Amino acid sequence: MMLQRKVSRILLPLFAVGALLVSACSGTSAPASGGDGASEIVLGAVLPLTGAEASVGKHYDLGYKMAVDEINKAGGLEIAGKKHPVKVIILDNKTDPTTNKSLYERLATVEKVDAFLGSYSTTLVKSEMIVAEQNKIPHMIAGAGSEELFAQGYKYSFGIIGSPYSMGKTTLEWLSSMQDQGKLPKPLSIAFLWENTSHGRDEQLALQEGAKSSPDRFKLVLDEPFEPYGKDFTPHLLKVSQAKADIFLADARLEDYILMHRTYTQMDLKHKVVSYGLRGPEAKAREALGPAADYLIAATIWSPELPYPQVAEFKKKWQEYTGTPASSFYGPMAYESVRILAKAMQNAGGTDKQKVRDALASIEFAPSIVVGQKVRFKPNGHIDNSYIVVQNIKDGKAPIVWPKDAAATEAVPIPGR
Amino acid sequence: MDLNSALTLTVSGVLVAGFYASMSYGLSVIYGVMKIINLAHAGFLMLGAYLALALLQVFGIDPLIGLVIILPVFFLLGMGLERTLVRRVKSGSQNAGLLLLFGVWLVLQNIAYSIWSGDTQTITRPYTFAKLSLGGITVPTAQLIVCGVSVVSLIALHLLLTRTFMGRAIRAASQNSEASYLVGVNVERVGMVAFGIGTAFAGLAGGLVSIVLSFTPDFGRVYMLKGLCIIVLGGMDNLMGVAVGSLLLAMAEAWSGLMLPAGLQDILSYVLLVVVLLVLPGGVMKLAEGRRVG
Repeated sequence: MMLQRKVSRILLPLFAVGALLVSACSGTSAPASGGDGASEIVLGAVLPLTGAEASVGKHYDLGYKMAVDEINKAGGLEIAGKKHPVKVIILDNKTDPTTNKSLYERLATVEKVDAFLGSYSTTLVKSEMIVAEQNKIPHMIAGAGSEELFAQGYKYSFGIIGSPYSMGKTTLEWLSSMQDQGKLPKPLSIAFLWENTSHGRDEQLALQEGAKSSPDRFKLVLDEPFEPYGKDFTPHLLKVSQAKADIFLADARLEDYILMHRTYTQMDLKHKVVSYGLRGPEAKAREALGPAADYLIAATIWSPELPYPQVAEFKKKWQEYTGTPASSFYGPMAYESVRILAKAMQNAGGTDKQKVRDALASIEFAPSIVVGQKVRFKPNGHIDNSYIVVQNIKDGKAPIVWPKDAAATEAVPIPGR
Repeated sequence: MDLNSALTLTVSGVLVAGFYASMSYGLSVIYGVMKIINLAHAGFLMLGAYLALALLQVFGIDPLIGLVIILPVFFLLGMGLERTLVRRVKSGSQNAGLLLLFGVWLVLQNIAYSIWSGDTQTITRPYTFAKLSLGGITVPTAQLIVCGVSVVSLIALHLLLTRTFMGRAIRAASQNSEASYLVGVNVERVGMVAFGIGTAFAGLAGGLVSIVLSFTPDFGRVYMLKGLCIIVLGGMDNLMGVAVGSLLLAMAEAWSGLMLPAGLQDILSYVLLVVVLLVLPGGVMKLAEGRRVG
């Protein structure tokens, strides 16, 4: 009996202290407050900060943080007269889809975030969309745009990256404008090679639809998939050569673009227009291909050359925040996705997840740094906008040549074609 | 199809065969002596490419010249790996060896990620776009060089295995390690040297590939699988078989591009693997040897 009392005297206070410590460390602690008592808004993101996509993940990390810091520097996100501090939790998925999914689950159930900011690449984003849907958490996607992601019927995910289908459509619009100027023939025969993934299939669909709806303009004389990470594209390019098309289009990732275009150049193939989809102006590719990359056309999601005042302002802010110029679309789209989400929360009057979701579905966000300056989502949650077309020119630049309201110049014909 | 196109495809197949052979010799040598499939081969292939890149970027050494450095470095690396790790599990189950080497591959891959990140790397040299025109057929110079080095290394390896004492010891150990031991061959030392040679050839293949293809730390994986198919196709411990297997596979892939949908072309190598294992478990060279004896 004496022993029991002694133990109780020692153990009970210890248990009490332990319980206090556990509750302090748990995710159920009260959120931080802003200066006027407004509660903190918590956003959660899982990014490839290590692993295969680490070099891209760091741009998203910077973009998210820059947007959040900007909001906080202004005193917080103003909702109904109160300024709420914003916090972003960023975890590392090591470029692994299973880790990505489980970390988003942690963000939902342990960290209890108010919204998700998406990861990068179709594979990773696909794994997190289901978590957003199951937990009914608004989810902004700035790192993937494949049509298959938005064909799943999910209601809580919203993407601001146009799909490769849009890329194909934009390319056809530009080609049509060249035909109307008499610079390309009608109908235009197209040889098209595409990587055998959802990315390639999306662009293929756009080209097939274009050829079907406008047979007076486009004829798809070769429509051939290839497996990514090829080691020899000679057989495919032989088919391109035999197709005797006016133009050559391909949808390829960076490694394949480099090898394919090297082989294209060595085989002395000549077409009036050559394009590898998104690929073209990347510094690595220009270094690897040298003058062979000149005059290539690319349809891209974003360019720092967009002639919008908000893009100029963004470029300045990015340079100051990161110390590097804005070049790829990764950081800018990450930044913009936070701004859109913030606006949706303001429209919703708070962080109620259903209301924020509904606000995103009906948002018209402008002026935006995306192509077209406006963000609007289709019923499936995918952005409704197009790409821009750029052309590599000799001094290493890639000016915008389409659409007209963003073009800095007109496309230059490839010499000797 | 016209004659020009047929010849272009054939030449392309031969050039790819050279590359396939160079990356498979190492697998064959190690399997021949140690009866172990070196799953770390993909990691050394990848590191060979990165070492070629580092030599170019830091010292301005062309990758072709860099092969002279890559070979001994990887030889020592391979011997060190065998001596410190592989030997410890060799006497155990074969699974232990496979798992160990698989683990080594993952370690090498993650080391590469931490040093170079996942960015695609490409090497561009003055001969990258050079080509030869042979009777109307275009032959890319870089691929021709890779094929040429592959042939030279096959000859060098053949001479090593047939004209040197160590080479004879390696062949003896690969035929019967116990009998070799009984006649005084230091089987452990032979295994170490064979592992070193195999690793050296993996590095060599990586250095060669860096001239032609872009690469990332994940680079060796696909070629590891192809290498397995090739050594099965040709005969797992037969160097000439590796060359023949490489040629057969490369030709099949080049010509299948005309007949098969894209999604099935890569499956071709794995289908060949399964078929050969079932029908010709010793590979095509065993069939040729059987006919000669018969």
